[in-house]
Amino acid sequence: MSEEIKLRKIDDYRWEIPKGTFPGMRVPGMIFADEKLLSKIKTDQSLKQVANVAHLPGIVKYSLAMPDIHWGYGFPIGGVAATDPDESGVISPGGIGFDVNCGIRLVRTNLTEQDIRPKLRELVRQLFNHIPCGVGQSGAIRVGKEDGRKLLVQGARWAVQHGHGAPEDLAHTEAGGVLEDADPDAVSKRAYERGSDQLGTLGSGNHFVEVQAVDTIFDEEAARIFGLEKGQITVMIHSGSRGFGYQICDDFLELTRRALSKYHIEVPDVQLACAPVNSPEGRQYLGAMRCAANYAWNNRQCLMSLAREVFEKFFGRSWQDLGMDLVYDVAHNIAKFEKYRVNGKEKMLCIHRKGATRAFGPGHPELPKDYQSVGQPVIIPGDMGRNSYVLVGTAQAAEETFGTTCHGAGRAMSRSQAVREARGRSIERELEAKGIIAIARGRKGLDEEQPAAYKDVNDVVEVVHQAGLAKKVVRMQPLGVIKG
Amino acid sequence: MGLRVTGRDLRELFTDSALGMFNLITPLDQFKARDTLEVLLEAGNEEELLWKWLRELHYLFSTQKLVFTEFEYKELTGKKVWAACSGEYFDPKRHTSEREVKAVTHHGFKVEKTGGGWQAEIIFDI
Repeated sequence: MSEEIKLRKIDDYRWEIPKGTFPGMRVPGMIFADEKLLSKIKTDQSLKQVANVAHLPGIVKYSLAMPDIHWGYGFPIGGVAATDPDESGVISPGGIGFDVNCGIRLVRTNLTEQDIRPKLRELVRQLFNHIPCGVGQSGAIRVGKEDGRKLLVQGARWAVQHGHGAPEDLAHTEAGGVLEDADPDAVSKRAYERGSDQLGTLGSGNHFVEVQAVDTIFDEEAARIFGLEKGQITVMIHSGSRGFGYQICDDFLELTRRALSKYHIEVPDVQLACAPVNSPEGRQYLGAMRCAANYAWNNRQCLMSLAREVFEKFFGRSWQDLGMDLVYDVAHNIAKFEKYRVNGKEKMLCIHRKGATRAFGPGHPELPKDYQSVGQPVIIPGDMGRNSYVLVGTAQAAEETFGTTCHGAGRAMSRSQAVREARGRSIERELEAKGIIAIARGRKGLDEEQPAAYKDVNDVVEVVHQAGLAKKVVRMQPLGVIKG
Repeated sequence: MGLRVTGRDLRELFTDSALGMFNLITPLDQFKARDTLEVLLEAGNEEELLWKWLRELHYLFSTQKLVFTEFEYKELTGKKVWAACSGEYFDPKRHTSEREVKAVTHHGFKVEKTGGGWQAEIIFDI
């Protein structure tokens, strides 16, 4: 049970941890949740972690937490922190996480549930056979040393140039699939080694490829613009920067731990290790982190290409003919520089999103032309047995949360507890009884990822919808899923 | 995901911590001690040394897919480990797996001397 932290209720969806709750907090904490989710949030240490993040030098306005918040290393997962580089603001690898640019992409099709239901098991089996997933699986895409450096600088453009997808995919990828100013020289030899054979691999844990059907439309106009309609089949892909990104986080947690004393930074948890954005350590981490982000966008681009190949072979039609366009790709573990108004002045801030999704509203200059009128698609996965959502970003999110909303359901159970709960049961058969085909490489994969291990994504999404941090567009139900 | 490991001496602590980590990744009864590689590491104390040890073995698995099941220590003090690590290359076609370990974290990482020997607490990012 969490140490009791007194919260001040602002309204039904907003709870504040006042600035004076712990000495050294520079700003208050703000949690977006309803009573039901809050009671679950209080069962781990994540509220204390929200307060800890509020100690970071240069933090602006609030240490923010989304309704899917749960305990993480240092920063909570579902946490958002903006720091001001002009006010000695810091960058913290723990505020991004081990899996740099872990994210989600959603591909639409012009297939319906009736088209695939009779042969669903075979389709899922072919996805499982074709997409490398699980421990120790190498990807088929090998990259030489020089090409590897290009990939890290060019982002997903590299994958498209090498035949994995089409140029129009890039317009529907956050940041166009590339963070500028990536510095391949800031990356360790070990990171290069760990990433060398993992491009186009899914990984394990909560990563997946899921075949879904749209079951509810909430916003007809936005759904039409995103090319989504009731009964339509979609494909969702969740993965990140693989061992390459994990190693970069590991390397820089070490470097920034040493930077704490060098820059006289006091934090209540050493895992909030950080360095000023404008310091050699901060710049080096940013250069390496951007390489990892660009690796991840290449990875998801290649994974989507593999999924398209499976559908092409299975249905005997090209992916273009099957209408397999990318709806959007979002990052949910990343740091980016974005402009916001602070005390009446426009400031360029460093936004840490760890288990949180960018949610730009209509008219934002970073959005592609076709989405300008409605706002950014926000892709929110749920667990294997319930739903996933497409939301749309709002102008209000820019005012309140530095243009950010939730990222998923959020764990409600530890992995060990989930395995204990699954004893004597077959999660595969339980899902099958609900019409969902699940195939996993790892023996414990389905047990650890069982639906009950997660909060109900419907509750999480309702909070951000009601609070105005994103609006519901469509809901999907899972039909088949592959996991590592 | 975490492990609490106890050992009568440092050798047992280092061996069981390594076996515990590999067992999270893949069931160890499928592997034989076919290939050997030497690891030499130094640190300021037992806690730092165990952390470096696990990090090094995790790196060797991540890059070479080596799963170690036997350890022969040429030297093991609180400040230095020199060991011959034996194991087998993980082959996804032949070996079943459990889960990917992303990293050995510092969170709650602890090595303590107890009445009966040593105890470590280790949390891995999955």
